[in-house]
Amino acid sequence: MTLRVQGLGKRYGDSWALRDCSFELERGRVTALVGANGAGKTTLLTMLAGVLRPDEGTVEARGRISFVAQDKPLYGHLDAGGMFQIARRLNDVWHQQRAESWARRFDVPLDRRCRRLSTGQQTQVALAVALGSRPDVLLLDEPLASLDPVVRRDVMRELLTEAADTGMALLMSTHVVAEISGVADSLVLLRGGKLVLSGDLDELMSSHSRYVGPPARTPPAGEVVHASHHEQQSAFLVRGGDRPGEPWVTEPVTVEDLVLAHLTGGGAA
Amino acid sequence: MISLGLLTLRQRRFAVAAITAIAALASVVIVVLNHMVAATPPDLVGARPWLAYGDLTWEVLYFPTGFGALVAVFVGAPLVSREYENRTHVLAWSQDVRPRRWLAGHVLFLAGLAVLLSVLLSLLTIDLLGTLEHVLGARYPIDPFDAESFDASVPVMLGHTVFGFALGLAFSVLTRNTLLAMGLTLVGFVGTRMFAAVVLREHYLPPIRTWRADSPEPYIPQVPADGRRVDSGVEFVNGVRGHFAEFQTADRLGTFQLIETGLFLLVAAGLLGFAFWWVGRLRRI
Amino acid sequence: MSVVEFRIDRGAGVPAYLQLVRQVREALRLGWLKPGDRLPTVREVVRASGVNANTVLKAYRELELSGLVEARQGSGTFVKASLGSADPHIMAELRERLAGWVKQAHAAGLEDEDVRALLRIVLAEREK
Repeated sequence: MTLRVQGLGKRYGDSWALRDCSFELERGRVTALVGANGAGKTTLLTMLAGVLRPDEGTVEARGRISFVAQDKPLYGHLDAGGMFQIARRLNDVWHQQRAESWARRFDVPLDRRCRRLSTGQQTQVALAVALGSRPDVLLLDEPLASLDPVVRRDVMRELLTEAADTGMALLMSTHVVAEISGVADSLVLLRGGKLVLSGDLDELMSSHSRYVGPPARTPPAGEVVHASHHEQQSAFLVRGGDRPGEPWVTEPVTVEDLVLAHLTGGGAA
Repeated sequence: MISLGLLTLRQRRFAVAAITAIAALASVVIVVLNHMVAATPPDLVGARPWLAYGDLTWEVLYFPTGFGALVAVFVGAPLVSREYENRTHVLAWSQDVRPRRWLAGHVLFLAGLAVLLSVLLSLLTIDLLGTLEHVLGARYPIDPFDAESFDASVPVMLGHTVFGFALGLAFSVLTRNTLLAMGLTLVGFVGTRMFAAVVLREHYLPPIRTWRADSPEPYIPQVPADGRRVDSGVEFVNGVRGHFAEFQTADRLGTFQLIETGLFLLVAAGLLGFAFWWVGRLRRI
Repeated sequence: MSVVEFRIDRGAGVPAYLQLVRQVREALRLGWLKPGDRLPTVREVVRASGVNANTVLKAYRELELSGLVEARQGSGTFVKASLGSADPHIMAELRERLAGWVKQAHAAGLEDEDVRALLRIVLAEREK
């Protein structure tokens, strides 16, 4: 365990932005944090980063945490070199070379003021700052959002390599569900401020199935996560349950199916 | 801490350069004026010759006060709110150094610099005041309790500057909005200063009270020439009509200046404490 | 240069590590990998394919458990056994019969899509 979250909650006025959130991050593991806009992803990450005060619950961390916020805040009047100097003074551990090589790897000029860098380059400076401090837990809020597809792929590869090299735990929020498979080991899924699904991705995939068959109100087996009905057939995404026989067809569940089913959560309908 | 100070210097080099430049410019003006006043021909000493330089001389005496306001509004007030506005607080406060220490570094460095510069201005102003007093001579004494002479004191200036900075910081933390914080700080700083100067100041110690029965003799003022009248009027004592006077004497000036310094520093400590408590509420896991 | 290049079909309903396992098995079956060949290191795979290190580790462990590869301390993961592909004669014969069956299906009005669906159902039923 590198980081343990227990019953974490944050309230804005009368409404809870996040409630009853518990999960763990393990060393060297990559966890994808998914949820619709406003589901509480940023609230959760900001609390884990220690810049937002939780209203309830505890966070227990072993090691140092680094956070890259969604808008990648930087001091606009400083260049990347200046940002690194600041980060060096604000951290107990600092690897200048690591930060610089990241910036160089992604073609960020070290001597240009951050506000004059492109948004993509700003993202790279923010990532370089975070990685330079060699965290045990790296929290990334939509890290790839401002990057073009090629760079997205490269950044993801580099981040995974860093995670493999250093054993840091990585928790990243993302909207691009299609990119999770193979990248993330675990999933944390928020819906309406509640944690509705979390765990090892492979286990989640094998514990869910999709049954397609004749029109029916209930699935042949398992607990319904999402159901869709058409004139000639019903399809259920279920959790658990034994593989049903004729006339039901069992289809494999993709990560995207799994996530979208839990995000829309038509189970109760 | 030194390292954090250097960080502040790097991060806020504009503010640092600006207040240093303004203080330097103000110092030059004060020194030049001092020389001009000091160069008054001996035969003009005691005859208000300095009027040749107009009211500028008096206004220059307010430079340290103006500098304090400048520090409060342009250094204290944006300190935290600017971070919130640019969302860089998320960056700065999610590093290993905790927000409280981060703030301590900034406050120590910036407030330290501001105090240093205002003390310099203060010393130069005290010098100018001395020259003026000499040139004006006994015929035109300067009231020691007037703002320009009362404020011409290193401790007073220090108290005011630290207070202004702390006030700006407190508003900065509270509003998270730079413009609003600057406005509130300006109003708060000027208001507090005026309140202290006009209302509080003469009550720092109970005034000396005298009473004299009215007599047909020519009236002799009970308040000394260099004293400050607090109150006076008609009063009957044992059925005898007379006049009373309450006043502070010039020899109390030093004590009063220390009392005012203490008061402002006390309030500043409260404001700083609030700011640090507020920022420190962010819990590091 | 690594012998195999892994790629993940992120839209597939198969866990990423199983995809890697299948790709190695396929490479063995097709003869791209032979006993003694070294598999790319975890780090190399992560770097080249953007796959999580744990996924690669899990795939390699799976392959090791099925006796196809072995991890040698400090020098990497090596192919131990080849996947005995079926006798070429039998392969050729099966293929011919399948081609005939497909022809039959088309004649009966089935589209490629239907053929695939049928195959999937039959395979799925056998798994039970």
